[in-house]
Amino acid sequence: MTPAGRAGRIGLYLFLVTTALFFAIPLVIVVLTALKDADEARGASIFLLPRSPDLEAFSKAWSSACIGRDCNGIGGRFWNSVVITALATSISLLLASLNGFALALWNLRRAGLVLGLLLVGAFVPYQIMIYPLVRMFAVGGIHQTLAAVVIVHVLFGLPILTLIFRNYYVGLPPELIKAARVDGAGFFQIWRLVILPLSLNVAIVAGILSVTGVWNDYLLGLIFSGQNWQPMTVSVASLSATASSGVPEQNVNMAATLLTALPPLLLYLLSGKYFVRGVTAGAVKG
Amino acid sequence: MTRVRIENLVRSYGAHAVLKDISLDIADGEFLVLLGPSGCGKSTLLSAIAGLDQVQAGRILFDDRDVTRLEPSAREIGMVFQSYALYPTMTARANMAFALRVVGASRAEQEERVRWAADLLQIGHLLDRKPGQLSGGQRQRVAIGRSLVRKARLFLFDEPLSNLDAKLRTEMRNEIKALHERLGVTFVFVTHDQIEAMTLATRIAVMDAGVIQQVDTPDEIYRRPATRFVADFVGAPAMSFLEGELVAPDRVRIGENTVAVPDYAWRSAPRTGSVVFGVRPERVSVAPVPGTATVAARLRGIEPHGADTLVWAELSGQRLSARLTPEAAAGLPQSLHLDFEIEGVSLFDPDSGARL
Amino acid sequence: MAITPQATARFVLVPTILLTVVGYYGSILWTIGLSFTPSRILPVSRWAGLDMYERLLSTERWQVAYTNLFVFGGLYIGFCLAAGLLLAIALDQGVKGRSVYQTIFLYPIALSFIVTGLAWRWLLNPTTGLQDYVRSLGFESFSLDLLSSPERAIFTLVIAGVWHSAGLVMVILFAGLQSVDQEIWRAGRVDGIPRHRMYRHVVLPMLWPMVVTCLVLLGMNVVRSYDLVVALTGGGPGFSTDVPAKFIVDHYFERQSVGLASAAATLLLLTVVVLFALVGLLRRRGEAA
Repeated sequence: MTPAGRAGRIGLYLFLVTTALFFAIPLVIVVLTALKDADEARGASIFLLPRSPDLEAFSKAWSSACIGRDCNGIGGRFWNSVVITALATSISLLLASLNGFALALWNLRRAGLVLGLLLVGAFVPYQIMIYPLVRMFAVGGIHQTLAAVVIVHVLFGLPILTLIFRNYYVGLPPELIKAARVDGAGFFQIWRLVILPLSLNVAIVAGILSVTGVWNDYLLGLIFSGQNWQPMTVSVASLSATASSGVPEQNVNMAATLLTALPPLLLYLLSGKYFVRGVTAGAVKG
Repeated sequence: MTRVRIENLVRSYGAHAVLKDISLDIADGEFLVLLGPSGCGKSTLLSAIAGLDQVQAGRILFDDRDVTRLEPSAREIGMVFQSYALYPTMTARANMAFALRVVGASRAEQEERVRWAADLLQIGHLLDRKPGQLSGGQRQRVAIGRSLVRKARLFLFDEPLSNLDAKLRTEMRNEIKALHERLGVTFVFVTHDQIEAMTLATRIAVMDAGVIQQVDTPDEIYRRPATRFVADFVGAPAMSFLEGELVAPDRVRIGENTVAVPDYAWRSAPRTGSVVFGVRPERVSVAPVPGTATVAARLRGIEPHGADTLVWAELSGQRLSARLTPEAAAGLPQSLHLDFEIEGVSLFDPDSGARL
Repeated sequence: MAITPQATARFVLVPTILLTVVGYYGSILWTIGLSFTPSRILPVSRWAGLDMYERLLSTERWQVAYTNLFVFGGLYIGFCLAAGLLLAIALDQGVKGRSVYQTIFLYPIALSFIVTGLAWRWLLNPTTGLQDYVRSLGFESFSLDLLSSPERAIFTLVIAGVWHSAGLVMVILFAGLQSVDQEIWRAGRVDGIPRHRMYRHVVLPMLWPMVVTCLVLLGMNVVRSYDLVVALTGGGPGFSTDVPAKFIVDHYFERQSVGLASAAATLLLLTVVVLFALVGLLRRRGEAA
């Protein structure tokens, strides 16, 4: 390698390492702070290592931190998020798979129009739709219930998920459907027996997208879930707001933040390529 | 055991007419081949017979029962697709049993029918494999087996051999023919390969541009093509066509030459005027000396094919070919005297392309 | 006669179509309708013409929020694209440990904007955060007190936003770079064209569709940027870092000005429509080129 080439190489790695540090630091300091005790977190520089690291902040964040006047921690909210995410994701995946199948493989007239109708909705900011939705739920008597928050997540998740399934199904050989029809299978039989077994990979991609989307949502949870079903993102935001009015307990805040970040982070680290395909999938034809 | 009657079928996609008023009778137990170039409508016709494609007008009858609006599954058919369309997540056994499974047949019945079909096709040892673990030929057999498991009255094949290599194709061709003889059921088989059509069919329907050009036995199709299209499409090397003029009921003038057609089997009363003179290459020979029936031509090229040799000649500015033995083609002079056997000659109307 | 599978397929779509027509289009029309009424806490149906729009446009907080949409949006998208492209090209040089770098650059995308905002607020906290650390290194006059400055707080949103989303751009463009035919690189080497010129004149134009894709994804984040603002700056100091999304939610649910919020939402929608038309133009230009 020429000296110039070597210098270029060194510069390249220098750039990559510096950038990696920039990306890593926020997570690092969240972890460091969460391992400190309250005084240390408040007084000392955030970059100092904790003197005696322990998990006290996590246990307080989980079970006894105060959010507003409610001092039961965010543990309960964690389960709220789990329930909301599980329900919204399973319903959306089911619907999206059925929709995608119907749109892709049955030569329906105006299938393109239906897809277009759906996708236009996906690119409109939620803000223009939330207030009427609140009124509709209020009329239906489900405002600020689990049902309401799950329905809005399904509503806003469907376009992209349907598109993902549809794009996958469009690539399947149409003769597969023809053969199954000759064999006497109906729509739902073909879907269940032929199509679903083929959908594992695409369902993982769509599922990851849906889980991270729903878990990480703040706005819809804030407006539609109500106190009883408040998801974790909303609680952790108000936890930080609560603490700043009294004695700030940054170690607890950061522990709660980390707990909120953990599920999608683990999903990201464990699912690798699927995750990347998920977050970029929506863009393929968007 | 099914007789299929097709009456005035029309199918178009937008402005593009794919089937133009198609009528066709298929006899019980027949092996009918739909032959034509890609885009001629043969696969659409097969899909219509299967019920996979809805037609805009016309009727399809199985044994006098109108099935035009019936679902494919209600038509009691078996179908084999070009890509085989095996369900990728199921074993060969599950693929074959699928039709029985969806109608809720008992395990024992499923197993019995699968066994029977597997024995027939000698694929018993492959039943626990998935399509991905099978070779092309094995998949083909499983796909045929799947269509056999249902008690079908009619079997439809959509270019089933075109994804196989040449050797395997010949083998499967023979098996399908044997299968037809053994089952005695009506087969409808779509292909663009004339060899397949000639070897398999009891009758061939040649299609072009959404119209059936001719339905006849392979022999008739070859010897007495009904249209210039059929004559051109069937036969390799292809028939030669020369523009000429009928000057008398038994004579065609081609440029400065005159060819005698004394015993030509006219379809209708001969009328003088311009004609297209078609001749099969194997019915053209080279005479050593000029005779009363020979025409003069110039040698233009020689293509050895191994078993025989194709000789290209020019007759009054138009090209034609002759299929000769390698010995006969050796050492030909530049100027040739060609002789046409009348069995190899077809005359067509230059405007309509219809046989005269 | 039995129901055909096509009929079933059509039937299957009905719930989704209903959900979409009512949920999306019904809601949008309703909101637009409300923007022409003087509704406060509850919707009223009295016609108010363009009153709400007039009031909105003369509201200073809206002016700031709407301007911020473009300031934040422009900087966020610009830096994300630049950083993402740079990282993608860097990783395309056959570096060792590529997947480790990639994992580090991309992980923030798995985090919510709430988590992103909280982490960065802590990091940018002047008394214990980055500023304090740099000062403790001996740079006594170092000042990074962005959060409490009305003029500069908007940049914290940009920093945190770029941190969150640059990895996404990187991963999309990197996939694009990887899909470039190796023969093209070989052809360039045979012709003696330097690598950086190959990138500029040959490879980057090929990435154009992916850049447009990134633009759309990032644009959606900008328009929806509510969470990040809430978690990081709360819209402050004052309302210096307010954005339309937050303005609308606040006016619907805290300040009980439904008519005004609806007018703001309608303007936001209009903005999105115009931006999408522009993206459409960009895409077509990319295809023509």
